[in-house]
Amino acid sequence: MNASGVAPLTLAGFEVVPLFKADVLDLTWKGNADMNVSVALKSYLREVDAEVRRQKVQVVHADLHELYFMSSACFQATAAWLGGIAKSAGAYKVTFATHPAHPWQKRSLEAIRRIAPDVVAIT
Amino acid sequence: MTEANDSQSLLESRPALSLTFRPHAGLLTPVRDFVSSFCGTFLRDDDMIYRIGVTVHELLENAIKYSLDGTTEMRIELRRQTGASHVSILTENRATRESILAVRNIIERIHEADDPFELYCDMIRASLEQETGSGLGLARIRAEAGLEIHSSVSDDHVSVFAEARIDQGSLV
Repeated sequence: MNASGVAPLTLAGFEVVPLFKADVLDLTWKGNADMNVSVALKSYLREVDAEVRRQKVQVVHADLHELYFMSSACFQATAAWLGGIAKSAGAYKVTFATHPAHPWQKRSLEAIRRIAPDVVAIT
Repeated sequence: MTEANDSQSLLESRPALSLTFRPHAGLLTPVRDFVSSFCGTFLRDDDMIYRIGVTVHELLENAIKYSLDGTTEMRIELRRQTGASHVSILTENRATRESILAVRNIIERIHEADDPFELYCDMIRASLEQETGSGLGLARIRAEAGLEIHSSVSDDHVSVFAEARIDQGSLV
């Protein structure tokens, strides 16, 4: 754990780097999120969720520009995180910033946006 | 045309790749990248190449989880036809009776769904309450990658077959 409360998640070929800035958390995702990643990602997003609530962060900005692939198991992990936020009356918002060169990102994220439409925005 | 030229023409019109191997999690990304590169030799549509990569990845993840002996056979093939061509991806492995039934049930649900994307969303919601066996990968192939999907069974061998229609303009 770093001074901000959550350490980066660093795995072979995949990384999530958090940066807390006042009431915003920048969460940068990089690499390939496959079956090696899903269990750790689910656990990590629980940790992020707890810290975001503790710090009363209002918005999580998830930057996916360098995310090249995400398996269905990792979407499931992400959906669990977003579903938890929605259940707690939208404690904070999550914005996913996609890359135009990766059209799959918007298509893929639309499915999990529907889990928590009041929580998630996709740009 | 000579016989050699006939053979060459046939090969050029049916690019195919077959792998028989013991996939593991560390091989998923390299195999997906390799298949994507292979598809890039006959497709100019990056998004379609990505969809095929998603399909290969999800089918192999299933094979890793459910293959009885760890071995999987995978075949990717382009069939050129007048009007529209097709790319198919086939995986075959041994599986338990329970796993085979689960695959067949999920594919049946996919076939019966009026809206495959809505089914996929419903399955994501349902998966939040379960740890394994969600069937999300197969639903994703139909809903998000847009490929038709079928299965066949012979004894304890299950084959999953996914197919995409390719417009002529997308071919190299």
